Amino acid sequence: MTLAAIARADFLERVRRPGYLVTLGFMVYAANLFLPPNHAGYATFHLGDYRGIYSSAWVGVVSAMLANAFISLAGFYLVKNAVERDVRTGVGQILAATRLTSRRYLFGKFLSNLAVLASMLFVLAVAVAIVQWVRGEDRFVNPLAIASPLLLVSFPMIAFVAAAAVVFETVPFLRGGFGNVVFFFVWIITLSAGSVGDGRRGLDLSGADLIVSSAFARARELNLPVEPGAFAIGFNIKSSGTWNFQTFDFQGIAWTLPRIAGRLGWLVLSCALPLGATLWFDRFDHARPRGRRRAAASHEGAPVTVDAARRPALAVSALPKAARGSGLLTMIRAELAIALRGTSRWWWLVALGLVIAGALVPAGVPRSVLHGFAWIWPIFMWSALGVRERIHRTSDLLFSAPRPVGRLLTAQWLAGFTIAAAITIGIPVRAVLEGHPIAAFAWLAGAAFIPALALACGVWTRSAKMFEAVYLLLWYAGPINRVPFVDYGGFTPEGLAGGAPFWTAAVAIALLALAAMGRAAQVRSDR
Amino acid sequence: MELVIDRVEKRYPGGVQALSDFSLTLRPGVLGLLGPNGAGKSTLMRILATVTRATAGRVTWNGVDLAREPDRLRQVLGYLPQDFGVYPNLTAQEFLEYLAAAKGLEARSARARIAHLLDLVNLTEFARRPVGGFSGGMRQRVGIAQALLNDPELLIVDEPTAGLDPEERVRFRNLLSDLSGERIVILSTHIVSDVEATATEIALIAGGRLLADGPPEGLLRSVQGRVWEVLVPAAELAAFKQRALVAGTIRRSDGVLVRVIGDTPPLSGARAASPTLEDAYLDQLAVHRAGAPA
Repeated sequence: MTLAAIARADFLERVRRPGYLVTLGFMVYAANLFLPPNHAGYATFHLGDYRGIYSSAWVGVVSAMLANAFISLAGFYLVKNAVERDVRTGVGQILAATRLTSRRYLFGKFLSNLAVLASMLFVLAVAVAIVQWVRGEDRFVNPLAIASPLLLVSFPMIAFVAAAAVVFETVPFLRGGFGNVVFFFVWIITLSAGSVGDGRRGLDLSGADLIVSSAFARARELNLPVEPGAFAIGFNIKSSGTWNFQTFDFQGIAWTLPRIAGRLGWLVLSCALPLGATLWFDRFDHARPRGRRRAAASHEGAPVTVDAARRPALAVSALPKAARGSGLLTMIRAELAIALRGTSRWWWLVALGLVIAGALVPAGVPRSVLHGFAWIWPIFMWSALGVRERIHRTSDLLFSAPRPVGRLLTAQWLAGFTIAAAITIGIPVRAVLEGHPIAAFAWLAGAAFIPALALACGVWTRSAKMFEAVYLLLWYAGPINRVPFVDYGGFTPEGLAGGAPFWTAAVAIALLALAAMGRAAQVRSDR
Repeated sequence: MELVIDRVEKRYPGGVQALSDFSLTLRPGVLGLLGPNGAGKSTLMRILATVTRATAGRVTWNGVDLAREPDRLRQVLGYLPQDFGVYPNLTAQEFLEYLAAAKGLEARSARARIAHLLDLVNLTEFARRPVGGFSGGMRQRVGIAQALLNDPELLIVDEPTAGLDPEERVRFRNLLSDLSGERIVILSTHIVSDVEATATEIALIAGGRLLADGPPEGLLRSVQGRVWEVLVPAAELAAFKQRALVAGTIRRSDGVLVRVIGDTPPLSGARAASPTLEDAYLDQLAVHRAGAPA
């Protein structure tokens, strides 16, 4: 009963927010996106020149696989706030003083996370059935064929995500932005562990291996000329023209007992994770010196009290008056202090290393790796931009000051730019020395773009998570995998030649304008 | 110097009507805004502080519409919200310097004023300590200091004495009295004694409506000759409360001395008492509740 009450209250609190409806709306859009019509400019899952005809069996596995690839990442950031909300609202203090056990509490939060993600899957299933009918390749909608991969492939995956969110909220050093980054890499590893297609992956949490091997098995049955391993999952954009696939009749996954047991195994593991997390759960005891809490306690120091002996009050009228000025430099300095104060010595040491190495290391792979890490190292300083006022409840103080949009936003963006520029300063230095002024401009545009993106995400979503998720994807594609399409910092010769720095600068300006619009709306409304 | 609140309404998404047809004109002095929890005080404060907008009506500062030109007021506004946070890693000095910059004050002269303000709120020796380690009362004093950074012409303080110990509360009341020269001070609270000590004008608000406004003497006149004290046996107190407006009780060995507001003596043996502002406040609220729809 207690468990159900915890899960129910948390679930209701989430689904009654307007953002939840937006999420469900996005699921409907995703269903349409996952199943592009033939001759579209992109494909989502194909074996060479073949894909399954849009029957319920095929749309079921495609949506299950893509849901696992994308909803698992977005879903984690979406639900990783159940415990944090109880800390923020103070409800946690009330719960901590009750007989509610930590195990029940965390398992209730897990169930709530799972319910939210499952409701997204359900909407996706309904939408996928409609899209199947609309595409018209096979209008017989078989609910079981759509539901079985979503239930047996996707559900264990989202259960793992729901459990991981609880674990990441509980383990002290995974609670904040660092945990968000760690999960990003867990997600990458999970996907790559499964997407092999030989049907023998023991760690196939995403179920991709199971689905791909089933599709290949059917292709072999039909003697289709498909090379082993010639498959693609994701949003594969055709560089020119459109895709034109031949289709085959996919019969669905053969759900043998070992396969079902394998999937249920993941489900059981997911249920066990939140119970294990009780080892780290501090039960809202802020004084417990652990991980991040310890860091917070150290900067806050021991509570300060004032001696009762006080001098008589001064006359306010006798105080010197402050003159008017722009104050922008002071604000930038303060924004930098807010961003940087409290960071560990290790952070500074690594940052210093990245700056020095970025300037000294000659061109080649080591330099590119160093540059890559320089572009991610201050991610939590950027992700706080635009949301700090909400987190620290200073918005009323700041928004009642003159020019709250222009002055504050400018100072925050410049502080974010300064951090980006400082840690990557080696890049323009080398670029100029090596005679590549356009690379220096690309660096400038990149350093301007990141805080602009952070501000736009922060102001509009009121959370640091959106920027952390979006920027991690951009960073993974840009400095790490050197995709010219997302070259926001001059990482590829193709990007530089294709005018990417100018596009980046233009996008940065647009994002700043977007942030300013959002902030103006915040100042006008009730936030 | 004039702040005009003209038929202001505020309806929140979801249909909650926080303010209805609220009009008031303010001139230099201390206005005590009194009302129960949920009366609409903080909503009104936030509208006056330009951090939210009225859904109808308008507010003007020296003739300038705040919805159109909020910065005209913001330059001379000091605002202490009911609920505010701090950046825990900054020291009190740095936090105030940051807010001074946000208010558009020149750095050097702001630093001099901050030093004096920290002295004023008794925090000089903690100026270089991170505010994250401050107690609730100390944070509140940082809030008071930030509200005075720009020597405001309009000072809005929402529940300012919350979290202050009795001594600091007295200091703050004195501070408010000192401030009320050539500026408008709006003190929102449900603690009647805070208003009693400082206000030159009082506005009573309940259910989002202005119930009464005027000088404290005017409010006191409304209960003049209508406040009684009577001794009631302890066993009969519950029944007595059902039929009389009770403003207070004091337990004694021979029963309970009850303070009652009413047009006639509640029992034989009741004797007239000197009215207080709290009596007037309770009387007005009772009249409002009697007239409000169930």
